[in-house]
Amino acid sequence: MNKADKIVVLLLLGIGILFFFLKPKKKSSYAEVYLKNERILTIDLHTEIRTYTVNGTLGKVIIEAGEGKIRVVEENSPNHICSKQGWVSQVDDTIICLPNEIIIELSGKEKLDTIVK
Amino acid sequence: MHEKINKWLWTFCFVLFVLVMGYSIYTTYIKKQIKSYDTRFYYMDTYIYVNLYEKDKEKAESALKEVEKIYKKYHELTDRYQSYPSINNLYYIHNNESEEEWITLDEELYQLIEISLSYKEMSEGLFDIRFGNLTDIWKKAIEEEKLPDEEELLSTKEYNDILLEDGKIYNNHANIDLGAVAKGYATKKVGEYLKKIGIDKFVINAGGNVLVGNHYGNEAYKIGIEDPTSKDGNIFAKVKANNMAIVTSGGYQRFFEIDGKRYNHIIDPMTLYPSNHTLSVTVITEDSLEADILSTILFLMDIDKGRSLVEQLENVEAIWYVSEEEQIVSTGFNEYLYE
Repeated sequence: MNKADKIVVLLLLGIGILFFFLKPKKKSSYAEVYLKNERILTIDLHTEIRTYTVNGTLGKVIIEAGEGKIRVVEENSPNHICSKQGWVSQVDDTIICLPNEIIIELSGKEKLDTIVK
Repeated sequence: MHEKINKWLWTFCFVLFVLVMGYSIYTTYIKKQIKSYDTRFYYMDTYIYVNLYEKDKEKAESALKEVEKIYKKYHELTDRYQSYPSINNLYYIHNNESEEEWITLDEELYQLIEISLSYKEMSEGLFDIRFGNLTDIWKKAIEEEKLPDEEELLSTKEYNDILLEDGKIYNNHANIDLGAVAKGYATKKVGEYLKKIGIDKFVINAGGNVLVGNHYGNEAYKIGIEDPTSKDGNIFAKVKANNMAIVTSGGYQRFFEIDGKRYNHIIDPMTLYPSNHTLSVTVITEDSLEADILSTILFLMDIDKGRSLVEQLENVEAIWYVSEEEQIVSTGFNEYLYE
């Protein structure tokens, strides 16, 4: 095996890994909001867009959710990382507001299909 | 020697890589995978969500369009506030100026009225679709947060009876309210349609009316039941089911309070006042229409009576969220609960 062979093999391996990560994802049906690892809110994403307010450690965190997606609209933190993230909608996506100790998990641990009310 | 091992190692890696990549291309792009297709729309005063799991993209997309048409059809047939061209709906029955003694009804609407009437006896008069006036009075009361006038309430006792014959209804301008059955009926029809065209994996949520088909993996759908005391939509129970309808009736979404007393939108036709036996009740059974009707009946019924009614019925289970301290389940409900 010469140098060229090795390069080809490595290249193919790289493409293989890429394929593995490019698998299609699934849309989430609901989101869970955690404060310091404690679930404080379960949000059904199968509704029209609604606004929810939760109390993070630095103050109010305003969330918008519905039509299959969720985002943080407003929070108090130095860099506003989680409100800059924008909409998320896929299973296992997360929004992490570290300064506020708020984590939003899509289709969290329980993976409910729907909520009846 | 060293050279030889190296060569074998590379060959092995190469073969493994080709297998893995081949498989991953196969599953992702060649083999048709079951994918999720969903849609949402607003009919019957509620947000409706439909989620199909299907291999064929075109089939799923055209099915979703057809599903919306079905909901639209029942929305128009059971609309009490507006008429539509070329259909005789509930608004028309109540408000028409026709000279005709009998009005011809759409077959589906006729059937729906007929089925609804048949539940009157079983519910000991609690399930009564002839009280459109009463619904309107309380709807206004909730909007204005003001108790209705007692005399006005009593006047609703003089209603026009419903007479059906050969696909026609007697034209006495009855004020029919199908709010407690329309969503369940439409959802049932949608479920039947989907199964007929070969899509058996689905989740439908039509404002408190959930219907699930077969699961897309070999599991069961997980459905959360909302806690009626939670402002944030938390759930208090979780059920697992396939091919079942799960329907909640609750007075906790539309209500007003006076002197600490709660007045919701589900009215007992016997007392003419909102029912307060429980905050919510959730019924699980195969038929979405039956689930819808029973959840209303159980909400209006004294809990003990409701429990014995559920025990008599086959394949019907229920859970009552009476208060924060008290939740009651029927004998077989635990089989659906998990965790």
